[in-house]
Amino acid sequence: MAKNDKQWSSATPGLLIILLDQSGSMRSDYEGTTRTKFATLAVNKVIDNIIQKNFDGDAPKNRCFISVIGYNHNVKELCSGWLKDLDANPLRYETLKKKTPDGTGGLVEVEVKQPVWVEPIDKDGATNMLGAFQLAKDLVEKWMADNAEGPAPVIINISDGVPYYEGKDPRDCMRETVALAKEIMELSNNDGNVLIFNAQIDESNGKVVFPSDRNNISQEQAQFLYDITSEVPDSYKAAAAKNELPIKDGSRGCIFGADGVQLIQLIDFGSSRAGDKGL
Amino acid sequence: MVIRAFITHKQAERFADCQDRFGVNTDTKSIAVSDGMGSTWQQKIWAQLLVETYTNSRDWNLSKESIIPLCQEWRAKVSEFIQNLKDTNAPENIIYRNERNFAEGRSAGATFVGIRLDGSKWSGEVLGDTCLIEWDGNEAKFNTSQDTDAFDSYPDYFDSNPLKDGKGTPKSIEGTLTDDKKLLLVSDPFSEFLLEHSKQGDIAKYVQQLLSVASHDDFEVLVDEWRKEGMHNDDTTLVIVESDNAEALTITYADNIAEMVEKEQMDKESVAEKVEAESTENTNATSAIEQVTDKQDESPYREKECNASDPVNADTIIEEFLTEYKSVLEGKCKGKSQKAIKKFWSELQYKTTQNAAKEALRTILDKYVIYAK
Repeated sequence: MAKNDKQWSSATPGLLIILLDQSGSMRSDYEGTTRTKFATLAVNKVIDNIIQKNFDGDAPKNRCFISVIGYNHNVKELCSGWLKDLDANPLRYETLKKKTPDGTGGLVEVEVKQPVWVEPIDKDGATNMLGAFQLAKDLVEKWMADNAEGPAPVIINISDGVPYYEGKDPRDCMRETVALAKEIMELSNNDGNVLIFNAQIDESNGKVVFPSDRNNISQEQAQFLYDITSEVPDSYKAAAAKNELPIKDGSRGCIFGADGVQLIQLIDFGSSRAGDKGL
Repeated sequence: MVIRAFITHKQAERFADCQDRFGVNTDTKSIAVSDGMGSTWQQKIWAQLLVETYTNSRDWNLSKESIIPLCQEWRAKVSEFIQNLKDTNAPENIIYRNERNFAEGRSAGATFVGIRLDGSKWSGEVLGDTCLIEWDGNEAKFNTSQDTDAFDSYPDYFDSNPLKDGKGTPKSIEGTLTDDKKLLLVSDPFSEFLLEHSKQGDIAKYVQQLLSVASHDDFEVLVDEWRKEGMHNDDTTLVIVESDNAEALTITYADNIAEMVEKEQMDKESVAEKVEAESTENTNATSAIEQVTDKQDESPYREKECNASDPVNADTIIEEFLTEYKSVLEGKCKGKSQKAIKKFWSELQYKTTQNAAKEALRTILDKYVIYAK
């Protein structure tokens, strides 16, 4: 089993690619808002959290490179950069009110600026997940050619369904996407294989969390998700436990029918190599 | 007692980034090492406070209660730090992130090991994976607050926020330093590496290597070699205490992190001056490109009116692309110094230039209908 235990560091930075479904169905209701708004909030939050983990007060340390790829009928890089550059160049800041401890046991409401790198979509579109994985594969191959001694890249895919593009039969789209995802998961460097973790946020077809046996999955779409997901390496088991994700031998890092909390847990788990010793 | 003390930073970072701190006070006969935790904030200030407070006193002992006044001191120092950022016109995002963390009550974490010597007897406290190793020539005894089978990424630590509990409980440690023993106060890369070799039964040769370190250069060479052998890449600190049958503490060598940071800054400034001189040459080269572009603006091709049936001349497209590409690339490098731009390019390799090229091409291609040959 691949080790995938190399910590993201300035000497051996990591690559995190987030694939973000921007198809029309992402405008559906979810967690009191829409799927696209919640998902982009979660992505912006995870970028911010990774910067925070690597920010000691002087400047963010460039311990990883983050690329967010959006896909509907088109595939587009929404933002990408080293942590220092991402921090210096968000699209905009959103001002939020937040209750924080006032140091004397009470709470005080303060205004907090939240950087925004990715925006929700407002248009209809298909689901070219294949194209997104293809772009991710190109980025990963180029990265690994230049960073053979570094951590193996990690891809986190957030979607609300199965691939559908070019008017093809969805089963053909799923088959093509599975084939490509398997190619990506075969790519490796000295640290281990490229990892793909998935969160599917359509809760209407039941829930499957970190499955270890495909035969125990009844939903076809969940089986698809299983097929495009990596087995969780031992080095990620502590992060899974910290995020209260049920893990056993052979578990794949995916959640089908993820609610808001589980989406954030999955993203946090998938990006857990990004940072030094934690709390 | 004879003391030697060494410190270095993570690979590919700088002394200014180093979050380990150590202190040796020959008056109070106190020695301490603290490791600021990477995923926390302003941990250097916290680690320094813990070390200074311990070594400046003859009887102050570290506990969750005794550090409460230090938490206020930490907060005051961080507030000064933020004010200094504003006074020196630091980048807006750095000021914002520090202010936000301060307002949200974000805090620092640090591990700790400290001892005081009374004749040949020593006593102290330890919390986390910073460790005191007693070496008797054959075996190593690891003094840590944690289960020595379970060094992981979540060590015990002191938290600089008095409303948070930190993790774990400080453990009191004590012993006697006889002629045949050495004490090694170490931060976690050494703790883990030596523990592993203790389990493998070959720790002796590694301890001998540590004991032979006499200078900072020796220390850097050793750390580099051990990292190649699997020691994890992190800030690394070593304080060696040996008996010379004298009660007084004698420091035969000690790195000074403040001086190392200052030297690093001076070296950086002199490199920046050199790069500034080089960038003047680049500016001249850039001006040359501008001149060529300007000249091409006057070319007959650009002055010729193209009607709908004529394909656009390739030279025209190339000229416009270069101008647009330069503009987009400058936008991506906006606000960065020439040195930062060079470093930015070398880190990013082809990605920024590729993205800039794509954006510039898109802008140009939006303006024309290009016919295939």
